[in-house]
Amino acid sequence: MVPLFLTIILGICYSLTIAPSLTWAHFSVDGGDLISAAATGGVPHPSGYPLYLILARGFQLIPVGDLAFRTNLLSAVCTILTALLLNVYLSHQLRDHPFSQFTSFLAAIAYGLAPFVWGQGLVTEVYALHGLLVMICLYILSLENSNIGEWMRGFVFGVAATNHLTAIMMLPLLMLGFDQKLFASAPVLLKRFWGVIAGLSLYLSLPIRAYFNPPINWGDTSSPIGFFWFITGLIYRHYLFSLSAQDMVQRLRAFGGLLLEQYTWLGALLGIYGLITLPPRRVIIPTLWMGMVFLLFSVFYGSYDSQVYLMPVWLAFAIWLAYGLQDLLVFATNRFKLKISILGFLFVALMIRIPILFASVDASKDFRAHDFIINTLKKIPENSLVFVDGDEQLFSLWYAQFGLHQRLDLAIVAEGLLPYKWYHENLQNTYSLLDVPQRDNLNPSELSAANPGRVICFIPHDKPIICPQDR
Amino acid sequence: MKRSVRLTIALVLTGVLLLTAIGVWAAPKFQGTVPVIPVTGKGTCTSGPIDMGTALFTPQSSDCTITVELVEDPAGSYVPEPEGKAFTGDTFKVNADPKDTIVQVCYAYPPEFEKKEAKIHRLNEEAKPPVWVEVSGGDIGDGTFCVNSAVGVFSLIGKP
Repeated sequence: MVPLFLTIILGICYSLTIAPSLTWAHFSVDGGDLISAAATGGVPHPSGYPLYLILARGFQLIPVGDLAFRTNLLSAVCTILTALLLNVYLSHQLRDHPFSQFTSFLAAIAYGLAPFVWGQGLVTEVYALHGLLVMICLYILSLENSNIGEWMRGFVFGVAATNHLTAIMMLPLLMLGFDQKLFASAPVLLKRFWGVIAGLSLYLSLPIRAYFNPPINWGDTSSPIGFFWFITGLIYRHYLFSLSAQDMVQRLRAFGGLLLEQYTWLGALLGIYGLITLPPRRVIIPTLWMGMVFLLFSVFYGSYDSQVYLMPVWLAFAIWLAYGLQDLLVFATNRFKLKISILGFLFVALMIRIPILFASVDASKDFRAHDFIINTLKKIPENSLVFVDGDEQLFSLWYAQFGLHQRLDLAIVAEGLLPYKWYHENLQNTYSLLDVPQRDNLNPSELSAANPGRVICFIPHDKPIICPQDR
Repeated sequence: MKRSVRLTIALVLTGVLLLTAIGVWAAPKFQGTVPVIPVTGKGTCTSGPIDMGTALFTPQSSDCTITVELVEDPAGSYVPEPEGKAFTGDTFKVNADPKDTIVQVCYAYPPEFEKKEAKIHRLNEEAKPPVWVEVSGGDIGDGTFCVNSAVGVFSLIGKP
């Protein structure tokens, strides 16, 4: 009954707020890139997300809504599954405690209704799947004396990293042992290691995809050096530690604000209390590790939206919240016999959050991406060479052209990718009538000059399109 | 540790969190998925428009070289805006060889610029002191405001 109840509550919330098409809500500006790459057998931005592409393509075959909506569904399903698995995990870990079923249920609901988590369940992005895979890793690590092979444990961790590369930070947890031993034995570690390698091998699907010259084809994954450059995300290496100390401190304080936003002051109190209560080693070590590494990564990594990397932190906090709630519930019901009132109050408090959060998470009315596509494609003259600067704008136009097959006469060029030779090849393969000069560092002027018959348009980041009248 | 002690510590930490938490995630510069490349601002008369992000510069001659630089502090580098007006858009210095090259200057012109009645001005450096002069014959259409002019220093100036 609890899983059904959980699914119904979250399912209703997500179905009422899910984005009906492509959206820029909830940090999902990369959506156009991911949807188009999944739809065309392409390779999206580093590190490639091969597992996500396979699952997204499966959802894109569901005959409901448009291409973007089907891909948004993947996020909704992943988020609900994560909450369900969290409930199962907590029920198992707290099985010797009274009220464990209800504590687990409340923690899972709190997680599913945390604004960031809820938002990620409504849009096309990789973080809902990332949360699910991290939860699977935690769960599979907790299964002592089970039929799960050690190779399989490693395999699951490897596969998790083929969605979002930061899941690699979970790998040290594979060193943990069972049966009161802190670390696993060498033979066990070796089996897990080979399992990880097998899981990571899904990255080898990227050069295969690239071989067919799809329109979305980041990087040069056909060569070993290019492949390594791509899957390790070296294009973004300068983002790490790119902030000043002052900005990093500000992010730590902002994390506090985000924590309060996700779980309210009551949830924050319960989670902190749960952490201090020191759950068993098999729970505290993985969750504390997860909480720390992903928090530090989000602080040190300089992308403007790095708070998206906090998904595993919210998961860890939900687990601590459950332990804190469990401990206080036992204390309160022993002393005050207010069992039903307290449980009912907590459930009602969570349900009251739904209408309070609704307006802020609702992506069903966010038509910015949709309107941008319609308005822009209406303005651009036929056969134009369009230089685009800005993730939202570029990926939305890629979705329109490669996903929805609109305005195939246009040559859409990402200005920020012109310094890369692999991108010149991609342009030539995608737009066979475009003359792409063979040189190392191409700039818009040179590309324009090589194609004198085309009208030139520029779409700057967050600014209107500019198509000069005369050339 | 006794339950009451743990609860007290948790309450104190939650209080600290409430007092120190802020709502803004530091993002001093835009670093997204597509790398941001610095604007070069150089070209020739045959190489097409020079894209400076918020404005385009298209030489109208058949043979020239052109460079465009962003001016960070136009009031400090040259002269302040006319009285009762404000710098609305970016300021650019355009040089060309030959110096009499005519250039089409197109600024991105969102509705908020139109509300401020922003117009393209060119710095008259021959005046003593230099003065910002509105370039006549501007053409507004589809979110852009374009003028043709001799090279010089251009800015979008409108109401505050």
